[in-house]
Amino acid sequence: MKIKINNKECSFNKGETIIQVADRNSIHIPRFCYHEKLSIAANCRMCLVEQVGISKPQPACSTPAMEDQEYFTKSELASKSQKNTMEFLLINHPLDCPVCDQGGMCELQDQALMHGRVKSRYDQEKRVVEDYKIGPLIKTNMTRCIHCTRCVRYGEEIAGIKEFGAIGRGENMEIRTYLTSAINSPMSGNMIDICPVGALNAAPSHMKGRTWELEEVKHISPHDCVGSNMNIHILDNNVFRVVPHENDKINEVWISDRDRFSYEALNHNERIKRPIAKINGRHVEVEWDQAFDIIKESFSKIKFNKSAGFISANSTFEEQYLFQKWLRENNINNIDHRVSQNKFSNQNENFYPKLDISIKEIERINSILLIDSDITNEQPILSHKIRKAFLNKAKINSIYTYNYKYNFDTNNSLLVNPNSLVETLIDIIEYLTVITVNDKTLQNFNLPNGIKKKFKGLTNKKIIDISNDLLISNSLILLGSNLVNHQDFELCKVLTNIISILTKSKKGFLNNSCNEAGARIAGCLPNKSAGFLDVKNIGLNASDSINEGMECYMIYNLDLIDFYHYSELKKSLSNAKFVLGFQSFVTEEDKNYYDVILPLATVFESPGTFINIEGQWQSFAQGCKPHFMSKEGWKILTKLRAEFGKNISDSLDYIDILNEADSVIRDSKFFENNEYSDFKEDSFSSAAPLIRCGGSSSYYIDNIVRRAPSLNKVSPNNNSVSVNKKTLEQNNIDLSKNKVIVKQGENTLLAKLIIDDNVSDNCVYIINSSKEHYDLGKQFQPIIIENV
Amino acid sequence: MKNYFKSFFLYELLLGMKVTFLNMFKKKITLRYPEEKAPQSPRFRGLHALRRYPSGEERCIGCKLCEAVCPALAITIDTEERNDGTRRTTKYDIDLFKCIFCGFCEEACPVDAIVETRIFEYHFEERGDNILKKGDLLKIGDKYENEILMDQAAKSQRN
Repeated sequence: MKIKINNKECSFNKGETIIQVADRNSIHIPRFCYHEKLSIAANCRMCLVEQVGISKPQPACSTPAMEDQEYFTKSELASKSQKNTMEFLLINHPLDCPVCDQGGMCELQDQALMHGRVKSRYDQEKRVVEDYKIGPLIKTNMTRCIHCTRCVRYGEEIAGIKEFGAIGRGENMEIRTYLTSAINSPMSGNMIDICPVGALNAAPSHMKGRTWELEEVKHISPHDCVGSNMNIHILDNNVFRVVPHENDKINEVWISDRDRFSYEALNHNERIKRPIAKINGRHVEVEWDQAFDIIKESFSKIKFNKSAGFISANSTFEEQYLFQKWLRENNINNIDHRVSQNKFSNQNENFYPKLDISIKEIERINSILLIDSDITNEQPILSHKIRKAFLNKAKINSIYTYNYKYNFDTNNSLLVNPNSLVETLIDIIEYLTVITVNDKTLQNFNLPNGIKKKFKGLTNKKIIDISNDLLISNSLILLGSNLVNHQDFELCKVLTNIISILTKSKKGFLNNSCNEAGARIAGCLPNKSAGFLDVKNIGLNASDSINEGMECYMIYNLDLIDFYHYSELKKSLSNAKFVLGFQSFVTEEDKNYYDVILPLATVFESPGTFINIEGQWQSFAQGCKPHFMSKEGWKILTKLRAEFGKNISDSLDYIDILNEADSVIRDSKFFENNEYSDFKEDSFSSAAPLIRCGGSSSYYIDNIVRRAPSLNKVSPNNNSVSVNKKTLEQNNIDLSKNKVIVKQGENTLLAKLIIDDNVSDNCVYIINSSKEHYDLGKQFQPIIIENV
Repeated sequence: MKNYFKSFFLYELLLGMKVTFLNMFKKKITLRYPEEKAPQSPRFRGLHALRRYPSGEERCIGCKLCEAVCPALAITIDTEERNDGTRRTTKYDIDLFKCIFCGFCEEACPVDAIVETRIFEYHFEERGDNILKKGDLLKIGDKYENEILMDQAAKSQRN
């Protein structure tokens, strides 16, 4: 089907509007309210075009293209109506472009230049709208608002915020939160991007620079397993702001607030500025060469089989590759990146954080089961995809240990105690084995006997409903990222895998690190080397190498609280002969454990590659130059390899490293692996009367986010514990007092008590958002609450 | 023969002396600088100044348009939000070695904060003095505010 726009013949599909056809054919039509990812509102009237045969101009965003019609976007009628619309918009818009942060990238400014009058005819009073605070991330200036309602539609359709809208009519119309509250969404920052004027601006970069001074570098999100594409804007070798980079396969045009505002940590006062060495018991700043000499000298005194190296799963692939290479060259085999994992019952397991389908396909899934996943806060972009599936009438079920708030509705949800999570999964398997008994495709599949022994007859109807929904074709099971701290984590993975085989559904293991898959391929595992190949000398995993007490520890890009075995680690570090840190940030207290700290450039200051949950390799360039005396990780590690006797040419650069790593990896069968491991019965947990649950706050998950001031204002450290009423009564807690003492082992914490029926029975829910929470003890461990 | 006499009686010299002699009675066009100075246009583009409002509030809002328009990249600005919610400069440097006194900054300024005054006589004694800081610029502005006001008035009249 064909139409003519400005005498140019354009083909279109049925149902497309004029503006869509015009955009595809690079014909410019001015617009404010239209946004390709949002619904059509047609309330700005800026896109009026002339349709031949109709006396009135038509809004191009909402008028469907009609066969053989002719449209003009620049005819006298069209440009006159555009000009008139613009004049009305500018009546109440303040002419304060020089003080407005949007100046220079403002759609109103651009279009006023193209379609506006030269002088204003309006000489009466302008409208002024009161500002109000909607949180620490977005700065409002509502006098500038032109009521395009993009932000309201974004809130309703994409983010799932219902508290934001337009109040009043006509001139009294105001865009605001219905109650005076902050916008509470992990994706709220996108409102800043879609606002065509300067009404919603980024608060952290407010008034600190102008748009035309910035340099743009493409980058990949360093905070979750999605690998959102983003652009970092650089001013004077500092990250000024972060905006999304459109990638329809992954993040569309959105990014989460965590990705957008975490850059603020870059100049945190805990940043390591120069190499630091402990000389005569005191930490002093030294030169790089001196630091290398100290490392070499210390290495000559330690036993290599009594050394261990831990690397962050948030480091770039190249750093991970070089780190394990350097250690293995020195016969150190105790290498691991799974520092937040509780138990390693099955060393040979081949699971890795991977989604069986692409991220884009999630929106077309018919049924989703979430297993203890706070996906809306932890992986906001994936949550957005699930929301899209939900709006497509997908059935979404959730089994969780806390009644998480999602931005979609669940069909069935089951609140379980963390200790009975495994039983719940086995219940599902029990039901499924009955249902699928006649399925011929499953004839070759043998259920491990250990599981069969646990069958005990079904009692819960919800489990049947959830299982039935999984049997719908095209279903997906997602295992939450917080479960990594659970003692039965690997068992949960195995059970999830069995469920996915029985129901022929897809599965995905979510993760809070941006490059967990990379760490596994790069060989940062005790039993696998680069390319996921088996090694001869199998080392110890993270838990064992901490508990056995090594002579030497190397910690790369990790805070000590990132370790699940945090208290044991502190003990082992203080007994070790030599502790080497490659760190961007170290707290004053953690510094005492290190003998040498090398200043590491953050992810914004170094080039690298991340591999996301769907196995997508995404390389990015260096944003700004490393701050202070810090160096990029690949440079430090290459230098270390040279210092330890390897012959490395001086002209080696980052691309050589990437090519070398790539050639080692290329033949690996890593992404074809789909095996499930054997079931081990003894990995069942013992039931404690009261158990601690709840993971890290999503703004406290890694060493960058935790130091971003604005994000931490969103979720202030309120130092509270949530317990449900029944459990409180059972433990004889005085409900009239709002404080309570929680005890784990010898550690105690005085905390605010919140009575919250979203917590399951016999659980104490603590969101870790400060160091005290980690000092108290571990998650999924017994806990005691007492009256003050 | 004629030429011979002309050169013998220094005719050309006398001709030249005649011009000199006649000029002795004409009005002089040279000025005895620094006692006397040439007249300046109100549009004269000399040393820069930052102005204030009569209330004492500095005019500059840190929009960085002057920095953007400066063809010699002589202006460097850093801004930040002040406690009352307005944007102000924390750094406003003009490198006078780079500046070509084109006056674009003055033209670009939406609040008439940066102006070029009539001052053209200045010197530097130390390395680094060539960079005018925000404080220096404001001082110049305070000192010559009346003159600047008159010049601004004169400029707008001629438009």
